[in-house]
Amino acid sequence: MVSKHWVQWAGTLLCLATFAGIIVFFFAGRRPEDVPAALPAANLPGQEGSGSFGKPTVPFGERRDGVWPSPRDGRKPEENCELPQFKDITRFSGISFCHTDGSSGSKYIVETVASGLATFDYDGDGQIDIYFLNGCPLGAESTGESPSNLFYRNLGQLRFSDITPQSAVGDTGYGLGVAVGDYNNDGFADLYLSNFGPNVLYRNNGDGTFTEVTAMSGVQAADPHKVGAGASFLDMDADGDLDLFVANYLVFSYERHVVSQWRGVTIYAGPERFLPLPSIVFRNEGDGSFVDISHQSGVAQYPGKGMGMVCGDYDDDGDTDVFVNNDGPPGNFLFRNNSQGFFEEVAALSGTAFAGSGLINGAMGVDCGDFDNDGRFDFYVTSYQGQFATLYRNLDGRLFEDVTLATGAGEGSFNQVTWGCGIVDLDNDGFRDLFFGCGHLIDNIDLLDGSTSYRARPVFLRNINGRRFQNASAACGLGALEPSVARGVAFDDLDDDGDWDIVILNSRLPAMLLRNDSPKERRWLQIQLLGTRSNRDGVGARVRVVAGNCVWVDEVRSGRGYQSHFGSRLHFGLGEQSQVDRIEVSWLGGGRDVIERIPANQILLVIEGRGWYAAWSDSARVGGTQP
Amino acid sequence: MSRESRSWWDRSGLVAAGLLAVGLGYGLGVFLERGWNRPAPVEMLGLNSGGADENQRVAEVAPLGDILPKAVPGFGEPQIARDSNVKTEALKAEVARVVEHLLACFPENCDALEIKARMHDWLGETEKAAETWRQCLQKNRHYVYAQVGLANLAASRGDFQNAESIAREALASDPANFQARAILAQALLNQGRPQEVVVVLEAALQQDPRSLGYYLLGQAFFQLGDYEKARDSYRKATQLWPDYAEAYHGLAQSCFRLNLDSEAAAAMEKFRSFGKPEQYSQRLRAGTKSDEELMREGAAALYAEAGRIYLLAERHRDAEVLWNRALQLDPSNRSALQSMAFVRRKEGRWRETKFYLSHLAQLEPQNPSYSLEIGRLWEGLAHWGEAEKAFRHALTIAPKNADCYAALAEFLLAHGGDQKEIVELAQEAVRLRPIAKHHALLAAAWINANDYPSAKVSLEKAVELAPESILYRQHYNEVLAKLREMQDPAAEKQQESSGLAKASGQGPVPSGGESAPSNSSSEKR
Repeated sequence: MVSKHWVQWAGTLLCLATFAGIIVFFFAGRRPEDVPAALPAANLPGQEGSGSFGKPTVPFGERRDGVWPSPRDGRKPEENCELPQFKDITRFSGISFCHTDGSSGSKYIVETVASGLATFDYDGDGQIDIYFLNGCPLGAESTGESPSNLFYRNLGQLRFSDITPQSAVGDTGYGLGVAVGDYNNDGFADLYLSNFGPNVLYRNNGDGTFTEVTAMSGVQAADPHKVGAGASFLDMDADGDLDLFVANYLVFSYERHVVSQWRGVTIYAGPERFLPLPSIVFRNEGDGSFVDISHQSGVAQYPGKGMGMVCGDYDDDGDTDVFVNNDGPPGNFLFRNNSQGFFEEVAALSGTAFAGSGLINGAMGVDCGDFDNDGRFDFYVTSYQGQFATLYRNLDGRLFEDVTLATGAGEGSFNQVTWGCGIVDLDNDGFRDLFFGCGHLIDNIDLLDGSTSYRARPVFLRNINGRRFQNASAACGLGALEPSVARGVAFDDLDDDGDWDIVILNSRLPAMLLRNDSPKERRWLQIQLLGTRSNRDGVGARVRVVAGNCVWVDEVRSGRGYQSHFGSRLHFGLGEQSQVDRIEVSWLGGGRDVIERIPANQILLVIEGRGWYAAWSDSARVGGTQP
Repeated sequence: MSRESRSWWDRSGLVAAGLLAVGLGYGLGVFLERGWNRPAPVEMLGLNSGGADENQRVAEVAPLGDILPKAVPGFGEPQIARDSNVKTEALKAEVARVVEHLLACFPENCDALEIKARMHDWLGETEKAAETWRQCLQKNRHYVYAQVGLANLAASRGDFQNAESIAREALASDPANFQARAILAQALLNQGRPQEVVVVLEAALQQDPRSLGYYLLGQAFFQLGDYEKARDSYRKATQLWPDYAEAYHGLAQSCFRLNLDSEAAAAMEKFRSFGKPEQYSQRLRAGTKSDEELMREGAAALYAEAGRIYLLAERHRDAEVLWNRALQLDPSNRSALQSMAFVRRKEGRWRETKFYLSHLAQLEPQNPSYSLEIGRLWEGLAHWGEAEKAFRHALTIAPKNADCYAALAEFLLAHGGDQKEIVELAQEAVRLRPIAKHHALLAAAWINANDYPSAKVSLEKAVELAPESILYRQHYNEVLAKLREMQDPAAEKQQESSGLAKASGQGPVPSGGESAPSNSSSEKR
């Protein structure tokens, strides 16, 4: 009997154990069939980091021509981890500007391209101030009080005060682009606004106020259907005063307003639905007035969809050439100056009209600078979604090559719309980095395309020894920023601590001020030019800085990036050089100044034909009429 | 019979009758529900299951025609009536219902799930598309279409490292998948690794020449500084696609670097002449087509693919409903047209087959495949004149296509034609594409012209190129025998009497063991 019960219990336990084993097997032991490891969850735009922040895979030393400079310190680029840190200090700065594009749901194309901004010293106190362009209500909604452009005076230590009313530069037009230049050579920087509709010229009175002098100066460009774009002051004929080159986007009128559809959803129409416009060239007559010489200059025969523009002597012939990037066909324009104020369009011949792949990009903004320290100016052009921001390397002063893919200069840009940009040395290592702002122009893109996003974070591409770029955005604090909708981006040393800070104008959102906390062991030099025979701002003058076996060149420019202005005070990152051996300033018109043995980490004022002053003090300030 | 037993029988009979009535009623309901969905034997259609599960269980789901607008009936005069009235929102809802129906019918089918992923992609729901493709891969880790979809998505997000990784997986699954190869090449280019692009593309393009492939290869060589190879690659791209604007730009740049200024100028002029802004940026791409047109095209493409899944599962009617709907939305959808032509051909409905093939030929006037198919169609119907006309037309539009020469030569061989012309055609086929099949065809042409020595040479070449072919070897032996007979008839007669086969020397030599040309499968595009 005992054995019988034992058998029964054993059998029951065995059955229970088997059943339990089956349960465990099905619920805990099995796993879904392995999915290949190469299929992680998507790195969504707008989350931590945008695009690929992975380690770059371009092998070092794969250049073809072998003429690029050798690595500065012999170390591998990845070992050089002294990165700048960008911190959003807007809420501590006193800047409360919040952009409006005047949108009301009608989806006028003008709303998508607003706006630029300017950083410059308006009162000669050595502090860089900030001017934000603003939109305004459009169409039938444009009644009542309109928001204005805002002007912030730099109080020092990155604190700003809104001085718009007292300065009288609060234009209420639809602001798109801005250029800064002392067109009357009175020692105070003036403002030119490129608007939807008539443009505006503000003359700086030198007492903290401006006067609107558009009509008397003749630079109104008063077509009410003109959608303006970037603008630049330049001395195209080297006669000592600043002329004006004004790009234009397209023709827009409410009567011919159209929208588009995408996947059944109404979106902004693209620029291809509107007529192009040529740029306008105004020659400064020297008496406060300008004359429209668009036709004589050869520029009027090139209609396009201009957006950003920048001036620079790319062919080293001593005059100022002009690059205008177009939003789509016919491709970018490169106007080569014949020194007499006539421009020949050579973009296609030079290799800068299109991307290297033959695609005509929807180009947004452009900057000019020497990224590889070969002494020649290169161009960097931002672009639409599905296209790379493009780096054109100047080969020989005549031809350019698209080196975007070879250098990684397009990282982080492909799935975004990219706007304001700069070829600027943000970490003072002596190699100019790339920085651009992102943000879509289709405000409901998140409903339609999951591969991109309306809001995005800016991107910092660190220059590795002039050969390639590494996306260091996350490591530099940009990953912690709130995604936004960038348009104009400006770079200047707002706190005079020797590194570029960054101001971003965001469409329909508050502006952003990023303080740059670069490694302080790196040296720098800033140079402010003051012309006496040349134009007062030294626009177009070339500065060559030599320190040890390193050579840097730069030019003073007015108007750059995305329809913005910045960097009138030239900045040179010197890396570990504690002294500059030589500074050569080549002024437009032929003048030349040489300065030798200058210690690093200071701001110089170089006066044409008269020497230089260190730092910025009342006694060193030269203003008023020409001495 | 006793009263009790009789009543039992009565009750039993009532029960049985009731059961029978229920059964009949059920059967009638099934019949009415299914409609005319007569299954077609898969063997007749000659299809394989591709990626479908062999043990697919088709759910008992209502016919597709119940959820789509009434399509053109499959019988009677064929027509393609465009539906231009469907609005985008209604179309989205319709596609969603179709995909739901597809998944209800084939819940375990990877292809059906992939259609769902593509629907999400079509709607811009990239996250859902990605998730669905991942589900496909969980069912089948080598499902190349999901891998390609994910790679494409990664690339569109600018995540080229991921795109490269997934594209490599796709190529490992299917080395012949050009889309995967192109995504991989583009991802490598975008990461600044042109030397690897050459490895990925150069050899593959020799087997499967593609304009996009040569364009990407051209970019790679250009980045590597090999401007001669870049020029050659761009040239090939433009030869394959004469409207390839970007390739002309690359050609111009390459020639410029080689100091070939006149060729550079000509290429740049060609590039400028296109003036097609919609090619150059995503935003501009839709410039010439309305959003509704684009959405209809996308829906039609989905329907065309989905139709094949129904066909494989023997839901013939549902497949036709989808293809017809695809053509209503986009009369230029090649896939739907080809599918309809294929099915009608298999069903022996020649008039309709020709209708669809003619439509395809109008859409792709430079593609000789359709003319060749029409020629075979007429041949099958014994309309020799029309058949010859079609074959000759194919040759006119593709004078460098070896298959066109071969097809016409085969036709003339089979139905009497000028011997000299047949030989010339076969020779040209060999010259353009010296494969075993064409050498065998040339041999047949020589035999037809009673030139056995030349036939021998051709068959030698065929045997050399295809040593595994017993048929070529057999025919070679027959020709040898014939040659011996021609040299010594008496000796040959003695050999005959000893039981050796006699060379027929009649009609065409079947190529590669296939049946007669009129029964050959469609040309591979």
